[in-house]
Amino acid sequence: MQPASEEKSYAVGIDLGTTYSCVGVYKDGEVQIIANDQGNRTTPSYVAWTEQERLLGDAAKNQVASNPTNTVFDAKRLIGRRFDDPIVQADLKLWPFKVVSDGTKDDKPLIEIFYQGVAKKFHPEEISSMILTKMKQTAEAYLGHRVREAVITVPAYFNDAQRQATKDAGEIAGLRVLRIVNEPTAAAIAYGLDKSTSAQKETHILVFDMGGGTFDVSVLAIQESVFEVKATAGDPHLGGEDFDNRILSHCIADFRRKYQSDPTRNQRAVRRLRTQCERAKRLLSTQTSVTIEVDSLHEGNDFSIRLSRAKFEELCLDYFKKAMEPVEQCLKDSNLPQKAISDIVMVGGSTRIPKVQELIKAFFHGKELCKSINPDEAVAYGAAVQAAIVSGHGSEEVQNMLLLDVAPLSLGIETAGGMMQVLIERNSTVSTSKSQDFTTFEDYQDHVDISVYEGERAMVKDNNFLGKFTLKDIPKSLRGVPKIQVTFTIDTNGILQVSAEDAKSNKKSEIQIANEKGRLTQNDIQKMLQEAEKYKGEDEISKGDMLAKEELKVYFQRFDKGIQDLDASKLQEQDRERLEKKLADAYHWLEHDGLKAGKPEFEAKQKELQAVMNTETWTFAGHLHSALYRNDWEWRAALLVCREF
Amino acid sequence: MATEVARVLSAKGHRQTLCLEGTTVTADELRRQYRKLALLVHPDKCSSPDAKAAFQKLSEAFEHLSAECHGERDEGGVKRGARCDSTGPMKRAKKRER
Repeated sequence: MQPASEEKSYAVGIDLGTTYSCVGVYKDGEVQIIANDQGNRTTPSYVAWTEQERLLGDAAKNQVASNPTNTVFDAKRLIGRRFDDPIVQADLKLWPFKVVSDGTKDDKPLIEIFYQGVAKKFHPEEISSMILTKMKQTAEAYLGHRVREAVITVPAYFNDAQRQATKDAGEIAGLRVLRIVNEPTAAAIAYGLDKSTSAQKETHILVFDMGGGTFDVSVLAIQESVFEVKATAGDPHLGGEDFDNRILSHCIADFRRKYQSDPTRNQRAVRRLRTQCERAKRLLSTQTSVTIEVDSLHEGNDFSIRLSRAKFEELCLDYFKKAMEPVEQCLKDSNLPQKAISDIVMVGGSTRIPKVQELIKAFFHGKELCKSINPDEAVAYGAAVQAAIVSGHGSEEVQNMLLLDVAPLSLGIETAGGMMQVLIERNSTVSTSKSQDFTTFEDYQDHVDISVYEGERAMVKDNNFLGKFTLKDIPKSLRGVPKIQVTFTIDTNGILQVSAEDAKSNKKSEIQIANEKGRLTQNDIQKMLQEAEKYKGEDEISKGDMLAKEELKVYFQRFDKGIQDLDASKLQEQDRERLEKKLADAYHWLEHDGLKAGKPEFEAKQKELQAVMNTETWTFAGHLHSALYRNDWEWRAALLVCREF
Repeated sequence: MATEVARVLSAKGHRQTLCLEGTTVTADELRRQYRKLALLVHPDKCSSPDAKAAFQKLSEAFEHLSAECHGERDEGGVKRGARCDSTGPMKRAKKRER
């Protein structure tokens, strides 16, 4: 057991979602889900660049319609994938922002935005790191302490590269990633703590986790305080956004028919429509029909359509049905009959859809679903508990818990004839290490290439290539004689390391797999860390500028009001005119030069106005001063509002 | 707990690893025993540098024994039942590598 450290430090749990993220911390014996600066307990996974600054979370999502090409979301759908991945290519068509290839042999995708007149490119990891930074800041603001450690969740069905990339994103955000935890597993902890069953008997639960972009299913066994994942399955690209897209296509087709014009090239129109589609989808979970309305959508035409729940279900039915396949698969893999499942835990926003609930209920012959945990927060809740377990900060109840997770995909190497030889089977408990002996194929062969794959198919060409390395200088001998031991090790994060050793020469060669594919090198990460720091600096500066500008504006208003409040006996007409002119000039300056001015200029301007005031007679200055600062608390409140900004 | 790690690492044979020498256990009891020991040696629970190796050895022993149990009637089901029909690690033929 790790000793609790003396200094106050917290490890947080972050649910880094495709569309929304959520952060929680284990504190004073319970999990707190932390609200962001807008008071929301989930934060949109959005990053945007405006003329002046970078925006994160709610601020970024709120301005998406007016700034579609510079607002980035869905980074999770890109992370750890190649640009030529068919899924990426399909998504590309739906995103208003630009995605390009990095042009190297790794073919990594880069997101391109325009900031202050310059095109800037970002890796998906960097976008995710910005969202993680936002979550970290949210937690820090609540705790009043720096947060340096975190548990981050990923879909259970994320592959090796996607896990690595998520871990990298955490590092770029300046977090020590204690653990990458599977989302349904985290949700199961939330469920388990909620039930707080200390029963001796083993119970089995199925977690059905359908969020904004990903979908997975896990079967777990819970006995006392040990949570063991028995099997996991899913689809890394199925979720609420796919349903939004279906509604969107339906609306666009309808618009075309009504007005014979195509709004798809109009990014702003598509974005505005998409927002309404998402809203409609949510409403359809509680009501049976909605109206989607967008005024002046495209070429001045208003758009309005009535959408019934039945129509929505018809549009997405194939997706809903597709979601049942992993459920079946997962039960089969865990060797459990349906009746052995004692609870079906629904997690993720999309599980609110009545049709989804209906289908899964029918699959389990009408069994009631468990909805006692919050579907939006359960994952972050579980992550926070796991953070407490791993960092040793939790209470006794938590300290006795243990989480045994599994590897979602089989891992193996290519052997003669392009066959896949599996070393680690799907659903093996992590961490695990497996070795197997191989030999040479030809006489006097002095090296072997070891190609590593993940997947369930018999031929490697149908599986996902992870990386390759060469074991050299094998002592020459006849084929079949050398003994080469290949070892696969998966750590508790589900990340793979492969090594090969020649028994005779003791030559050893190894790779941490994801280096080859999709993954960033340590150098890249360092560079991005510095970038992120720089951005943070820039953000601070631009925040300072904004603050100074707002302070100046407030000063103007006070100044103006001060003059108006003084009657003729206290302020002579010519003085009044002079002051008003001065103020008008200052306003003019703010609206023109002020656009590109920084904090020093704003402060100088404020001083200038103060100086004008001071040149007036003492009485006048006294009056104005008192007028300006009469409501001191009001002034402070105004400043406070600025600071929030 | 460190003593448990040492015990697991020095144990000979799967049954000894799981403290089940000379006993017949049901799949259910086997799993319970595995979880009990996992709570002691899992790297999350035990700071010993050898915890990882001990846990891996424990898991492997559990896998083997539960594959043996799999022939018997088993309500709860044995994890990774699918691997029983594939080649077990002992029978594994040397694959030729190009």
